[in-house]
Amino acid sequence: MSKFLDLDELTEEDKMLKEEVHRFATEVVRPASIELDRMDPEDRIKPDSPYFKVFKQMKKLGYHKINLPEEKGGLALTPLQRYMIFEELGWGSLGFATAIGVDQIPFVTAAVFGSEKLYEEAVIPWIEDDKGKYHGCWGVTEPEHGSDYLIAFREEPDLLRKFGKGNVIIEKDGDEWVISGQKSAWVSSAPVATHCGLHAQVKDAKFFADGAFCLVPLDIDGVKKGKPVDMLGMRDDPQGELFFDNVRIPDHYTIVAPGFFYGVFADQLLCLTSCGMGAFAVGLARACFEEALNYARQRVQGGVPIAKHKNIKLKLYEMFEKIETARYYVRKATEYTHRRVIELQTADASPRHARAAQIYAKKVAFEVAHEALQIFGAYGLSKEFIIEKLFRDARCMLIEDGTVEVLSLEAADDVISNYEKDYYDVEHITNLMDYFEG
Amino acid sequence: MAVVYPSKEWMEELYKKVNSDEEYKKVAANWEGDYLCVVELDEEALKDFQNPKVLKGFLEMLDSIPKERREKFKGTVNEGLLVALGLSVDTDISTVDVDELAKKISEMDPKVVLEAAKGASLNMWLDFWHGELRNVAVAAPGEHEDAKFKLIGPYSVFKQLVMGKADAITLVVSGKLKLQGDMGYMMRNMAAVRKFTELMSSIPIES
Ligand SMILES: Cc1cc2nc3c(=O)[nH]c(=O)nc-3n(C[C@H](O)[C@H](O)[C@H](O)COP(=O)(O)OP(=O)(O)OC[C@H]3O[C@@H](n4cnc5c(N)ncnc54)[C@H](O)[C@@H]3O)c2cc1C
Repeated sequence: MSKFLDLDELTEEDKMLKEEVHRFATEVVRPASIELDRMDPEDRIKPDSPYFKVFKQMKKLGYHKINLPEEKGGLALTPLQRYMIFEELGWGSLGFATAIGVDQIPFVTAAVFGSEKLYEEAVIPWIEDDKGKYHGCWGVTEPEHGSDYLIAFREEPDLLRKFGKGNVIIEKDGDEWVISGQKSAWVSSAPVATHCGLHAQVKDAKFFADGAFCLVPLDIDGVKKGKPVDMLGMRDDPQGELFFDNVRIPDHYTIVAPGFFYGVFADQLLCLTSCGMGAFAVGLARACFEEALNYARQRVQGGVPIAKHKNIKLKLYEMFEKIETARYYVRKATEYTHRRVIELQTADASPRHARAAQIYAKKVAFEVAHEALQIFGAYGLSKEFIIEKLFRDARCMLIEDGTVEVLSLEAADDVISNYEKDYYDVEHITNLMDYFEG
Repeated sequence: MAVVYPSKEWMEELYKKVNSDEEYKKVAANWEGDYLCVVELDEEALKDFQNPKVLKGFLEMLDSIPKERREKFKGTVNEGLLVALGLSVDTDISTVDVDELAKKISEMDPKVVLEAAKGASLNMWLDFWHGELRNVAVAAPGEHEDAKFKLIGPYSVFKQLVMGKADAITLVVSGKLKLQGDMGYMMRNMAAVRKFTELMSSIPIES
């Protein structure tokens, strides 16, 4: 169902775009996602896997280019249009939405913050790719550090000392950087990726988040991939570890050098991914709601369709209310964030607002999935209906891109310190720099 | 009109460009603060100085510092640069035969010059105030060290910035240029910073 009243009163162009993506999500993405969900992890990454067929089509449609600034080869979409693409893909499959989301991270950041040389070497081939030849992923979390990476810039310095060392270390050596260590098994698309946007801690770091961000081609010496993991949900996007053994990259592949701007970069990147996750979550919630609505209109119990029962009616209304409030808040946060990060490129989006979009929409997605499954009764638990998959995916969302609890704690700090400020305050970063670097 | 970089003409062009830009006036309406740009001598600078036009531009910039303030070069690494080029703080720069000096530089071993003038820089001071570039001038060693922001980097990197080959944010984020100062203030005024660097890189440079 792509038809619903849109309070943003879409233009003809918006409507056509939404229809196109929705059709693709219905006809291509969703069937493949169901197939992948039921496959063994190893089979999901074999060359004949439906994963590659869909990924290639997403590339052909240019979905990987949606967040690129226009002057860097982007599609000149509005924030609303970008949001709509993500909501529709999230409706079709959380896995594929995540896949095309993480694909963009190394390349869009290279386009915005990287050198001309890196743009020509790595970004242009990726932009021009319509066959799924290139696939990015985002390596942040590590075996010993998951939430640590999300909260590090807002933690008290004394506590930060207890975080210990990162599991991936980067060191400058002449005109190159050398990387060693391991990223967590949860890196989305890592088993099928060709490039990673990698966060690494600098050697002899003064504090945990003393790091750099670089683009690492995954076919170079010293890179190894782990086996794809077998997860409860989001099985339509393979996840796995990345190992780095003295991997050497040229200087210009380090996009963000250690220092103050690494903090700003990490903070702002999480603003962008938060808007993306928010849109995926609304799409997933809408998928659950629409399944439940259809089912409730047809399933007869007590002599009438269950939609006539007050408890089901209330559930459906509450689901609707949650999705609607989530959608328009995420859209607003996306508009603000994209203007600052993609269009003006002033890197001053509001962390608390962007995090709220992600946190709120993720909670909504899980609550809606939970209620939707309840409406299905035992049928909801069987593989006969998609709702059990959507429920598992919604459960994963509460952890993906930061647990809702840790994201909330991180956002809370921004709320408490900066609520009255109408600008992006970086005191949390400068304080850490001053404390550790003097 | 294309100008040589570095040169006094380039500084004048920058002054005109910023002060005639309506958008800059608007986005920087609240900006208060000066920059000290520390342009460090490197191999590329020595290569460019083999071009008499560029060398002339550089020497004229030095010459724009009045004699009494030029005394400040004495005993600093920047004096080392003058000495390495066969000049001194007291040289009357207007009388230097630029073609001959450029030729001499082309015969020098850049490694030896860079060793003798290790840490030498050309410092430029830019004073911005409420949407206006109030002043752009060459600074003698030790001058304007208390500027609100200090931007430090090799000549080759500044050149990329001036020629529009890379933008300031990219260069700072990647660590090629070092930025010191009130970063909170900077982040609150990114639109002004972006606009200024955009204007700077739009000045056509004579190659
Ligand atoms: C579907 C999915 C996709 C993912 N994709 C990627 C990816 O593409 N790239 C990538 O790098 N990572 C990815 N991740 C990893 C994800 O970001 C982490 O799983 C997440 O940040 C939590 O880290 P963790 O799993 O190590 O849990 P932990 O950090 O160990 O947390 C365990 C529990 O403790 C709580 N907790 C932890 N620290 C604190 C604290 N300081 N204060 C209060 N409570 C705390 C958490 O809320 C959680 O309940 C993905 C994860 C999932 C599930």
